[in-house]
Amino acid sequence: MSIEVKNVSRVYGSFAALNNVSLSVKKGELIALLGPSGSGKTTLLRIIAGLDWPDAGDISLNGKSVIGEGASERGVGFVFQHYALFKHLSVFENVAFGLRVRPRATRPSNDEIKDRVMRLLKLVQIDWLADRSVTQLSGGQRQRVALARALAIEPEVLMLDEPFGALDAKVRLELRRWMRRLHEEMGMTTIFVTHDQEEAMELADRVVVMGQGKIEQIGTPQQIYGHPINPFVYEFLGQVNRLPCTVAGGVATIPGVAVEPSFRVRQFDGPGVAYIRPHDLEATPGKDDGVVRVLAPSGPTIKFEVELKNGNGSVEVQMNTGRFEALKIAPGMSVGLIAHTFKVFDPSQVDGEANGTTSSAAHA
Amino acid sequence: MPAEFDSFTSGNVETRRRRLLTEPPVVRTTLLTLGIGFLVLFIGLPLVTVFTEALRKGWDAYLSALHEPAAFAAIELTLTVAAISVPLNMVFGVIAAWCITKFEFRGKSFLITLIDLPFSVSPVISGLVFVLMFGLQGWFGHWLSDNNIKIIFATPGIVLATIFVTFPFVARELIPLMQQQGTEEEEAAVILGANGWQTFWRVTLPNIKWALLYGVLLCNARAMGEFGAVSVVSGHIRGKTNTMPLHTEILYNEYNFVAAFAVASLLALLALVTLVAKSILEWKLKQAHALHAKSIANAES
Amino acid sequence: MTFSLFKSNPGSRRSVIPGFGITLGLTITWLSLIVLIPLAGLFLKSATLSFDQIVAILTSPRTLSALRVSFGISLGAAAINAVFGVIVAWILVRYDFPFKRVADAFVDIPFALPTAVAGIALTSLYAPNGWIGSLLEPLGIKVAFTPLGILVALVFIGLPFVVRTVQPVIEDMDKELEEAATALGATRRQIIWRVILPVIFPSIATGFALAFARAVGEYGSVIFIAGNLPLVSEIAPLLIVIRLNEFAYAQATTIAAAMLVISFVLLFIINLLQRWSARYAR
Repeated sequence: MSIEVKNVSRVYGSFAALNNVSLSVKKGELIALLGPSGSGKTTLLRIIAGLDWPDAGDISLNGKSVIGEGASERGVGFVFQHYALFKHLSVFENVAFGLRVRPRATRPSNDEIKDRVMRLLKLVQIDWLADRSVTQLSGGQRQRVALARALAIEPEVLMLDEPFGALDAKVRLELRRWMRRLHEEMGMTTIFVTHDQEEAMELADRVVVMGQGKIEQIGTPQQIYGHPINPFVYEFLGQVNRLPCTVAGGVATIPGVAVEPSFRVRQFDGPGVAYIRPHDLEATPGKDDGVVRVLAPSGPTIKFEVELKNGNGSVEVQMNTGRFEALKIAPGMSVGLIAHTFKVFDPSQVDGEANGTTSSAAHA
Repeated sequence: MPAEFDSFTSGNVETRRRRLLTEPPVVRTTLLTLGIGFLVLFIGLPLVTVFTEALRKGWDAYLSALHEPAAFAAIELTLTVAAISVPLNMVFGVIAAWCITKFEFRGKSFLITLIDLPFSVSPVISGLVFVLMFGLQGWFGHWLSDNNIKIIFATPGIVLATIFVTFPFVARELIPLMQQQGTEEEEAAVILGANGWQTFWRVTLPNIKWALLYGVLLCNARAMGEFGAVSVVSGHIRGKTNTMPLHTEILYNEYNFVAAFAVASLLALLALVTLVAKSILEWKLKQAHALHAKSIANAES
Repeated sequence: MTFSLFKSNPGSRRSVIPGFGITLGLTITWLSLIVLIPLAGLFLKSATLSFDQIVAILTSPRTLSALRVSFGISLGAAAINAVFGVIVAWILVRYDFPFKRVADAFVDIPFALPTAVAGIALTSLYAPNGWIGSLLEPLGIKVAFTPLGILVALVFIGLPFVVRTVQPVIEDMDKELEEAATALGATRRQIIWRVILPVIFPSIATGFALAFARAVGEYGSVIFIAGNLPLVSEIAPLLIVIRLNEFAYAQATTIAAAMLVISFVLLFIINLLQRWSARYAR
């Protein structure tokens, strides 16, 4: 099912949860709505599903406006953040619910319901739990029940609100992979909400980055990560060093940091702020741009802080552990810094001081 | 310092620690004596009195006191009044709780205050307001007497007064539980295609059934035992408009103590049964709450 | 508050859960019919009197005495309950003793036992020939048929309010709090005054307020034991009933309206106090 969101706005009291948002989703796409809390991503999801209504704008499914239709008429499968399983019903009955409440004319027979529910439970790999009470399940198992229940009404689009938010890290990773495979098998249009950029990047065909009720950028994970359109997206997608710089004729100069000679800044001239990812910075011994302070090894790469000599604070550098060891870098050592690639934004677009590192919201 | 550390696990320190976390034995004993003495004096003794007074002249006197047309009439009226007012308040309580807990709207807390209002009104005034409306000198008095409709000094008045005093019971029990449970399950039901009735019967009701039963039980105990409000609107017509509490009063004022306490003992039994049922339900409710808390906790892990 | 059941209105504040309009409508209708309109009728009725008439009724010695008896003794009963209710709640949560569960369940007896039953039971207990009355008689203490009897009845009916509001707070109180205080070197007495009491104080105030509000309006359990002597042991609700039986509707209504106003004002003040103390406790 294709989805068209046109100029949707939603206000709660004096708080604009959504401000003139437009989005189109193609049939079979897997879309992530990514943003910090309060960015309006869940509101947008609920409005598309028919659980909430916009103050202005229109929602079309398969080219037909559904703004006047209730949630049950839109043919949408919805997985709630805390799953909202019916506590008094068994796993089987939870999944069968959507079939049992159909009007008699379209309600399947008991045998059909049994067939269909068991097929779904097999699909989500928990058919052995069919008679269990949902209160006895683990978080991951509940997730699967919620998914099977949403699929039971044969929706044309599946929506998930923070589907992995309530799970621990290991289960989350497993379920994520499994969900991606499931999507590939079923080919159903799917939208999910998340505040975790890794999750969005790994799962989605296209990512919609949202901030403060607006869509900041839409694109494939590669486009979003490689070419963030503004400082917000840049910062939200991962850790970044912000340093003042000047650009003249495509050549950027950053005080205290050397720039890869072949690197050119396009479409910018004058004073700006350079956004440099830690892994795009490299430290080299024998120069004196800054002093290595804190080390944080994490397997194949190592992160460390370098305090700049020119008083512009410190920057975070991420390097390949092998290379780091070959260069024999150690705390207290003076090093030179080279930026391989980065992006320059106008200082007026940037909040706060243009130096030091910022963490992404997902890490906070 | 090290010496103290070493003895931290020893019995001596443990005793000291425990002593710091509770009161000295003298204080404990005093508090226990005071508390239990207070309960025995103010609750145990009155309850025992009801039954000893009722049986003062033996079982035969007790049974014959109950085996009397006026007593039967009082029991019948009490049951009738409860049978009308309790279901009405049950339905209202569910509707009000649904409205208050499933939707956001302005003036909600004011509405809750209004629903609780009858609790802070004297029972006598609860009866009086209906006398002022439907009594002979009341707002509708003339019209009613012209049309030969009797509300005050008749069963309808007693029912109205009873509904008034038992008004908040069911809603009060349901609102906190339903607020805690939120609206996600209902939203899930709707998006799966359930209509309003199906959502209520299949999703909401199973989640609130124990609290509902609990509220109904309390509502019923009060409905059968209400005295002040009913006394004002009943007119005390023996065998006609006397409920059990009113009948008790009349017998008592006639110095027919055994009979008065015999009827009272039935009401006291009702109270005891209510309390036993309440204890069982509270246990069930605690489970329901725990279940909810657990299902959230499990989902987090 | 605008809502519409028309699906074509995209800006409407609908909820997916059905039934807002109808449940709100039914709630307000039923509430109005049973509670609001009758209560409004009471105030309307007393408003038909002139100001002087109202003052005359309220300042008559008998009315003043009845209000004083009702509010004064209720205050005393609520205070007694505040003290003993906390003790009962404390031993029910923190100590073990035989039949504790039964004692716990019995706290609700005054809720469940019809007031008339309580009234006659207390009267025969405290009458000069009753179990307790006969013990007090030689000491020269008369309870039944005196204001003291009213106090006893009001203590009885108010008891569960304090216990049931304080008990859950003590249950929820983190033992770690006390352990932390102990670790910091506080004595048990300091812990009680500085840690425990501030936490449970708002609930004591609430219980006190509820017991007081209930006692002021109480009728059934009081009239048997009170003796009902005008100017001495006549409570305000009884005076309303007496005036009603005399067909003095205006008088009955005025006293009732005054009682309601005083109760509402008191509840409001106590509510504010509670909010303040709750904030203080945080």
